[in-house]
Amino acid sequence: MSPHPDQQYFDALCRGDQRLIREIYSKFSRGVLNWVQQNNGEAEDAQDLFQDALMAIYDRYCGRNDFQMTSSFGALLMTICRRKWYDRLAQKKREETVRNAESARYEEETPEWEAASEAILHQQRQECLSKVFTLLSEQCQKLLAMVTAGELSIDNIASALGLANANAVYQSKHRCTARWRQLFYDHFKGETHG
Amino acid sequence: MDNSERIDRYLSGEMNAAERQGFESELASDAQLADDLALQRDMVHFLQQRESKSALQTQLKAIGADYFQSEPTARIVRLSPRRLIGIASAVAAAAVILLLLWQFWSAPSLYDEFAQHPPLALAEKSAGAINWSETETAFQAGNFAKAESGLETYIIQHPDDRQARLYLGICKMELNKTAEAQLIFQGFSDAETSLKDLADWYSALNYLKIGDEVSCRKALNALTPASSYFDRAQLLLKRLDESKE
Repeated sequence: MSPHPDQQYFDALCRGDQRLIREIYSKFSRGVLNWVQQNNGEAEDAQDLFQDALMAIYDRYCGRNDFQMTSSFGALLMTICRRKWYDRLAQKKREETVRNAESARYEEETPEWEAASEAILHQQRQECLSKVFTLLSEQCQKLLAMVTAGELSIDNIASALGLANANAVYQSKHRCTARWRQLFYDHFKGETHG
Repeated sequence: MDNSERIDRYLSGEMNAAERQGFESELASDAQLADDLALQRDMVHFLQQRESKSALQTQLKAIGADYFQSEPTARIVRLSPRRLIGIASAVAAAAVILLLLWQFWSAPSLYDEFAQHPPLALAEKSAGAINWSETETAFQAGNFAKAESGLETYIIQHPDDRQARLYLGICKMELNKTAEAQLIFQGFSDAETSLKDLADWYSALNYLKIGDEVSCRKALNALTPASSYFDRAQLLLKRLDESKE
């Protein structure tokens, strides 16, 4: 089966394809801009929202193999923008200004809404992981990055980080991962609203 | 054994079949283990993607600036009531004159409304000595004569770049060389889907430009829902219908 034509846009984000990313902006930015401006937002809000939504798609799709395409790229992008904008307005207690608040409830039934929610959740998890990663010791951050990159042998990593041997690297890695995981659970539960 | 060590072994495929099966059965009944597995996958994803993600963010910020430009904000000047009345009278008089003149002016055409061209990108595709950014800038600025000339040179050097050829068609269309443009747009029937969709859409716009509404409608109706331009085609068809009412 040939891939959906929109597959190219998902792939373009992963590899930073300048031409296709420009095509994404060219095709979809106007719709988002108009919608945001109709819902109490400015061009700057729309630009920020659009970029944020593309990053949510990146977090959900790039480097993962469990993504099922259930809607067109444009529909998913627009739905993520809408969801994020509803959330931002709600945070500012301006939800009454969203003209299409009623239609938002209908959207909750659609596959796009579900896919958008999933992408946003992945993005929130990545943002939280990023935040708590900085709370790890410098040694832990370096070690996890070096082991994941896989560019150096474990012995070389041990030597670079002043650890006794490969076994010490593995032990440190598991200790750092456990610490990172605990920090994530502590912060993520506190940050989400369910 | 700590979960992270087992999960590591599971994710890296180091478990034998029996161990793997046991781990997967445990996953089904142990919600904490399943959460830890999902999180460890996210951790690996974070570490592997953070550099390219950061590069993408920078890239998007630069590109976004070209597409979301806010209108310049007006400066608020306080005026006296007398002055306001004077200005209001002048504005009203000007409005009447403009209204009369409007009879002789046409509203922006449907063509102008729908002919919004995606930006041209040549420079990043070419490693040659010529800097193609001038051609890109000319196209983006609506200087289609200069862009046409640049694209013709580019195509001589890059005869396989079909996208550049399509943009040459757009330049010709804008320069009212519509017959040449139509020939170009019709040469994409065997192209990859995204390019073919774009060429079909421009073929319809080219007909719209020369006032051949029948051919324009025919070309628009030929765009299927799978086409990226289907929604725009439907909107244009609707606007064509409305213009008759």
